[in-house]
Amino acid sequence: MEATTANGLLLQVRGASKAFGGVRALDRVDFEVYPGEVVALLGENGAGKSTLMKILAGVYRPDEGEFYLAGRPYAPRTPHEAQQLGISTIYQEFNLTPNQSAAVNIFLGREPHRGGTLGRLVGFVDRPRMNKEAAQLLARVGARFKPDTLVRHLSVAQQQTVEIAKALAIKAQVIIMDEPTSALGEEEVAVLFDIIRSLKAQGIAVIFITHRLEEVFRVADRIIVLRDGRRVGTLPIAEATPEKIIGLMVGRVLDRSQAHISHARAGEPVLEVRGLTRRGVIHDVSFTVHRGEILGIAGLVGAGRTETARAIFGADPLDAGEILIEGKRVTITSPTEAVRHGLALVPESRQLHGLILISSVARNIALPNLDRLSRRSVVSGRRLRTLVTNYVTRLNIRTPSIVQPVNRLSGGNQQKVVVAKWLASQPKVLILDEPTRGIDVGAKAEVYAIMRNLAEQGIGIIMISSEMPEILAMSDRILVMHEGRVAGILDRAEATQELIMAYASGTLRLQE
Amino acid sequence: MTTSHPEKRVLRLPQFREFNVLAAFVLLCLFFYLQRPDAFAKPANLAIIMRFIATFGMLAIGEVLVIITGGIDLSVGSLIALIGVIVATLMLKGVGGVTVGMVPAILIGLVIGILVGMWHGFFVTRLRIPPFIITLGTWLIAKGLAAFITRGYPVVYPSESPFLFLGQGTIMAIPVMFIILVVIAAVILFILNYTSLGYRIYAVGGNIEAARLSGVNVDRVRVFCYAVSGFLAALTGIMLASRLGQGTPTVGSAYELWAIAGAVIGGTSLKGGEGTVLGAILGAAIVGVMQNGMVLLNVSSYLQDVILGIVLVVAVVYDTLRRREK
Ligand SMILES: Nc1ncnc2c1ncn2[C@@H]1O[C@H](COP(=O)(O)OP(=O)(O)OP(=O)(O)O)[C@@H](O)[C@H]1O
Ligand SMILES: [Mg+2]
Repeated sequence: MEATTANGLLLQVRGASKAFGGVRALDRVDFEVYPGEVVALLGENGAGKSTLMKILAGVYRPDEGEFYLAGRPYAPRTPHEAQQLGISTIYQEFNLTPNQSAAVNIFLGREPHRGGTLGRLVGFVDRPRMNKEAAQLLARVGARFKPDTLVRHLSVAQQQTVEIAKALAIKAQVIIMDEPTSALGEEEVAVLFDIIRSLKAQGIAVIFITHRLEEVFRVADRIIVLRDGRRVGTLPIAEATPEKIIGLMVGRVLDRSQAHISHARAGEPVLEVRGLTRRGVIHDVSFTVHRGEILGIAGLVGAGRTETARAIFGADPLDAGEILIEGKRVTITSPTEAVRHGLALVPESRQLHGLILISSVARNIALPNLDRLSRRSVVSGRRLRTLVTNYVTRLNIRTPSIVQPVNRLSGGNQQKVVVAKWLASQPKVLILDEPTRGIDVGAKAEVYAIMRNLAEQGIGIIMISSEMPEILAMSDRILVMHEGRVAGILDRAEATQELIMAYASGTLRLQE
Repeated sequence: MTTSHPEKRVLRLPQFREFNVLAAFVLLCLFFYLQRPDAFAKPANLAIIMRFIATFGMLAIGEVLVIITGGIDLSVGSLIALIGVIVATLMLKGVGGVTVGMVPAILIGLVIGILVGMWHGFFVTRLRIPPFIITLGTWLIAKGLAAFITRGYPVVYPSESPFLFLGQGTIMAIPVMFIILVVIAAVILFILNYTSLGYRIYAVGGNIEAARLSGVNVDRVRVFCYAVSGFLAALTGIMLASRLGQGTPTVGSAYELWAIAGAVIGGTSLKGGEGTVLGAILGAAIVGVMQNGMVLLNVSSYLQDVILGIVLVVAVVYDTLRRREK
């Protein structure tokens, strides 16, 4: 099936360059993939990873460079053409229609027809055949749901398998996955890696991007690292170590020790939550956050962690429960009130809930802080610029200027903008929902440092995270949720990965 | 607004689009001037053009606000007629035989405009009715009410009424209507670009959920924009009644579409989140100059609509292509 060049390459890129205005996103990058190989593409935020992948996917046209797929020149003009030629991409935002079945989505635009020529002309879809073939494709990716399930009834991980099955249906030779694990929980990541291994066994090459280094060692055959739009190295997995990889990514040695000295000085409670209930979503959730404390919230995807955060923040209505801030009962029925009471929430989805994408870095960071930045409603440009520049520097947000629209930033830099806007709001309680999703090691360390710093200043911090190392390293206490309830609360000293998983999966329960 | 303004770089995204619209406007003027050098640049004709611009510009500013937040206001054309008729009736016929003075009558008219706008805002934010529907409802209601109040006949002001100064008077050869537009435009421009409310208006249009989660009271922001649109429609209604010397139920027909067209030609994105006061006025100016110029060139009134329609389509296609290129 896979024709290759004399040198055995399936995909070869030579000297690819791409500039956006003055920003040189890619600078004469070489890139190569062998048949059935899993390549991890690594690099800091803004290194050019997504740009290179979008060129391969037919989204962007390169300024220069030679491209060969299976020995033939490869120059897709549209994503559709790229798919036809054999390269499919799975983006973080899926391209699925929620109200149609998995099978319909897999065959969208290429439905099998019945009834001969007439049937084809009128578009008479052969549903039984479509469902049967979809079932086969889904089986190849290990999916356990029926092909006629509506997409909106599928979990994020299941939707991802639909996307992969779709790629198989188009007979992809190369499947690109841009940060496929960032929206998944630990167990789902394991499932995805099984799928990737089976794709490999079927001779399909996979290029995947991630900021979680441990994942690289679990599936990749080879690593290619970009830095500032240039390729700085490639390593077969056997020769790679985290230190080497990070050294290549950042160009210097980075202190990765994230463990911190516990700063819980048993301050007085700053946020108390009692009996929080939102029917069908969360039940009787109670906990306390103290001044200067980092409370980690762990749990599987769908355990109600995000819903708990949203309910506290007034984003969703509550059915029961009370909230106390600094010992005083407050009613929070909208985020406006939450902000007024000193709460801040870095939401899970930056594109949907975190950012005004068409708006500038400056305006996004200013938005929750407008009252502080203005006098009698008139915004002070000077104060605004000082504030924004300060955070852009501290979080090392890579942007040509602070008036750059955020949709022109790389994914990780967008995430930093969301974190920045809430850090800037100087809250009493800061809730972070998957705060380091998609940001590189350096920026992670910076976010952790800022969190610790805020905690030391007496701010109470809630950190929801699906990354176990992060939960274990950063939390003073860990609250584990299971099916919308508090399954257990662990102290830093007693917490282990196994214990957390036991609570998260429901095998252990909180004793009354 | 000079480049040296310290706030400018932060407060405004570069809007080169406005220069394009300005260039188109200048070219149009030049074209009509060369075609009819005798008539186009005459002070009387310039005054007519300025009144056109004042009318459509005022309405376009209201539309820009509403459209930035992701809405639309279809009611303004009929609202113009209704407010004009109400104010004229209050002043000239009175209610139950008691007439109302000029200033109170105008104030009542403006307040009604604001209330109608807030009413739209209420339906859009609280009841989640699509803005298209609720303002279309008002469009019908206002149109019907205006005809009902006057039984279809205009309410004519006596020729010596001081009220006529608003629409017919000039100050140093500049129509009062145009001066009012400049003042209003300056105020809204200031709000949009320099106040926290302005920041919030753009944020709501750019991503309403993200704005809400940033603590923005998104409902209040949207109600404000509809209220301003209602207010500006009322103001336009009063100015037009003054200019025509009568409150008549037939005035303002299809003006909401001209206003929307002006806003869109001026670079407002119907998807929300983008649009400027300057763009709206320039867009409205293009509409105004074309209407005037085509009359000067004796273009048949049917063809005028055809040409304006084509201009609208071309402008939007051009803008969309240009935006996609980036
Ligand atoms: N559409 C665009 N317009 C302008 N600049 C862009 C655009 N897309 C990307 N860039 C810039 O190109 C550079 C590379 O971006 P890219 O998205 O490829 O980074 P990345 O390696 O995927 O980073 P991340 O890990 O944060 O996702 C960045 O500096 C980014 O700001
Ligand atoms: Mg990226």
